[in-house]
Amino acid sequence: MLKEKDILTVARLAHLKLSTDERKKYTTQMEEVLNLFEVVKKIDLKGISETSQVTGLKNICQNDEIIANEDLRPQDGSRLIGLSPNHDQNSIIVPKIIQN
Amino acid sequence: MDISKTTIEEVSNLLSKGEISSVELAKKCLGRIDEVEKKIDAFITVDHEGALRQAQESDIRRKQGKTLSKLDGVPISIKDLFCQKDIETTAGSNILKGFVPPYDATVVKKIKEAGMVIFGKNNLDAFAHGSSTENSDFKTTKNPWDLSRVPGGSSGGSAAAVASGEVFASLGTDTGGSIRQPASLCSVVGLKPTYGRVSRYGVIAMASSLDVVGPIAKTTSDVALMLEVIAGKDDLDATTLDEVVPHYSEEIGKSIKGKKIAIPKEYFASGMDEDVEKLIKDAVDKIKYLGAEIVEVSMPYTKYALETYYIIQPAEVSSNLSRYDGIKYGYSSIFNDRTQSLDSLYETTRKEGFGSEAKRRIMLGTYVLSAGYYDAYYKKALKLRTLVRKDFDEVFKKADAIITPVSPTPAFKIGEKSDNPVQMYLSDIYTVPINPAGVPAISTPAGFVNREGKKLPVGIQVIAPHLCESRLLNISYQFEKVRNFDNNYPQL
Repeated sequence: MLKEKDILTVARLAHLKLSTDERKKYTTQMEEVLNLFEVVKKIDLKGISETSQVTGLKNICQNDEIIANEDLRPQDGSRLIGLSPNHDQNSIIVPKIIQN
Repeated sequence: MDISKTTIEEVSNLLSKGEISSVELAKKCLGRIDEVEKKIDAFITVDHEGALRQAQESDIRRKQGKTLSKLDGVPISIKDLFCQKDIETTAGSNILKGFVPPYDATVVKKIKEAGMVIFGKNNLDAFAHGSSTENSDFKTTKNPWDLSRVPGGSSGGSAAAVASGEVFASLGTDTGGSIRQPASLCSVVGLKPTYGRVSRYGVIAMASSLDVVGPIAKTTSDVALMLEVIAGKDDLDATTLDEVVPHYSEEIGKSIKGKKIAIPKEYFASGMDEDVEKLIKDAVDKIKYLGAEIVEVSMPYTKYALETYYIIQPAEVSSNLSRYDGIKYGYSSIFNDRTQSLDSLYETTRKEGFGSEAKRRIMLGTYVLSAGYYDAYYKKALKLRTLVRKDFDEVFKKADAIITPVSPTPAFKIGEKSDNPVQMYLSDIYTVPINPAGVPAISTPAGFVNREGKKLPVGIQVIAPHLCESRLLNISYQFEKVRNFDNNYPQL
C-alpha cells in the first residue's frame, strides 16, 4: 500500500514540492493507478527481450565536425540566453551551488 | 463557398483557377474563427496579422507563377506543442507561458515551404497529457457537435478547429491516441503515421519512443495530401526513417477487393457502448461489401497493452519534463525570489508551473523507474512491449489491415472524468496498443449515435503494418465512399 512518505520520496526525486492536500490526493490517485499495474508484476516474462525503441536504432558515434549549415546552428546565441528567466548580457545566471 | 464544408482538395483547385485569392480565403477563415471561436475555444493563439501576411505572399507567388506546392495558400493550424519561430508556444502549460521559440519545428518549416498559411496554435491537454483537452492550463475546448462535451485529446483543439471549419487541416501529435481519439469524437480524419515517418524535431517531447506527428483534416484525400508534405527523413531527428515518401494522394483510389481485414476479438470483448459497437459492426459490413475478406483473429497481449503503455509513457515523460527547471526558458520561481537555493528554484518552479496531470505523470514515471521498482514495473513493461508488438506482427502475417473501434464511448461530458485519472486512462484502451508497436493507424468517421437529442460522432480505426500508410489511406478512402452519411457538419 502506498504511503504519503513514498509520495514524498518520489516528489523529492522528481524535484517537485507538494502541498499537504496534494500529498493526500496523489497518494490516493497513484495507488489506484498502481493497482492497475499489479497484473504486470505477477506475469512471468522470462526469456522475453525488452523493446525500448521500435525502429531498431542503435547508438552510433561520429566525429565532432563543424557543420557549415546555418539552419543547424543557432543564428544568435544572445537570443537563446535571452530566453532565460535570469540572465545578463552573456550568461545565464544560476543560484550558487557550492556553499561556503 | 462555405469554407466549413470545403476540403483542401476543393479549395486548392479554387485557388489554382483564380476563383478565390488566398487573402479572400484567409479573411473567410478569420471570419469563421471570429464567429465560432468564442463557443469552442479551439485556439490558444490566433495569428491574425501573420495569417493575412502569409496569404498576401501566397497571392504574390501565384501571380508570378511561383506557387510552392498544390497546398500554397491553404489555411492550417498547429497544435501548440510545435515550436513556431517568433510565435508563443506553450504546450498548454503555465510553465511555458510566454515562451517564444527562436526556431521552427521541422514539420512547421515544411508546411511553410509548401506555402500553407498558419493561422495559429491550437489548445491541447498540457504537454499532451490527456484525452479530453481539459488538462490545458488555459481553457477547455468544446466539442463542436455538443458544446457540453469534450472534443477528445490531447489534440482536441486541432480536431475542433478542423471540424468547425476554422481551418482546413491541423497538425497534431499521437502518443497513445491523441490524434485518433479526438478525430473520432469530432468526425474528422486523423492519421498517426509509422513511428519515425515524420520528424519530431522542434516538437515538445512527451514520450520519445511513442510520440508521432500526424495530420487531421476533413477527408482521407486531404490527410494524404498533408502526409506528403510532412513525411520524410530529417537529419535533425535521428529516429526518422530513411524511406522514400510515396505520392500518397495518388494511391488512395485503388480497390480493396480481396484485401484481408482482421477483427481482433479482444477489442470487442466488453466495455464498449452498445450504440458504438453497432456502428463499428455496420462499418465492418460495409468494408466487406467493398470486397474485402473479414478474418477474425486473436491478439492475446492486448489485455496488457494499457498497463504497458501507462508504465512506459510516464517513465519517458518524467525524463522529458526534467528540462523544465526554471533556468533555461519558461516560467521560473526566480521571478519571485532571487535568493533561493538551486533545489528550491527547481522545486518551486515545477510546483507552480506544472498542472496536476503533469505532476501525476512525472511522479508515476519517477516511481516506476526508481530503485526497487525499476525491474518490477519498467523492465517488465519493456518486455510486454515486445509481446504487444508481436501480436501485430503475427496478425499481419494473415491480414493486410486491422479494424477496431477508436473509443469505447462517444464524446463524454466536460468534467465527467476529469477527477478520475484511472477512468480517463481506460478510455484510451483501443488506441494505446498501437504506439508501443510503432505501427500506423487512422481514425475515419463512421457515423453518429444519439445522446440527449444531439448527434455524437463515432470513428473506426484502421491499423496497418509499418510504413503501410498508403494501405490505410486506401481503405479509409474507399470506406468514405460507402458509409451511409455524407456532408454532415456541426451546427454552430
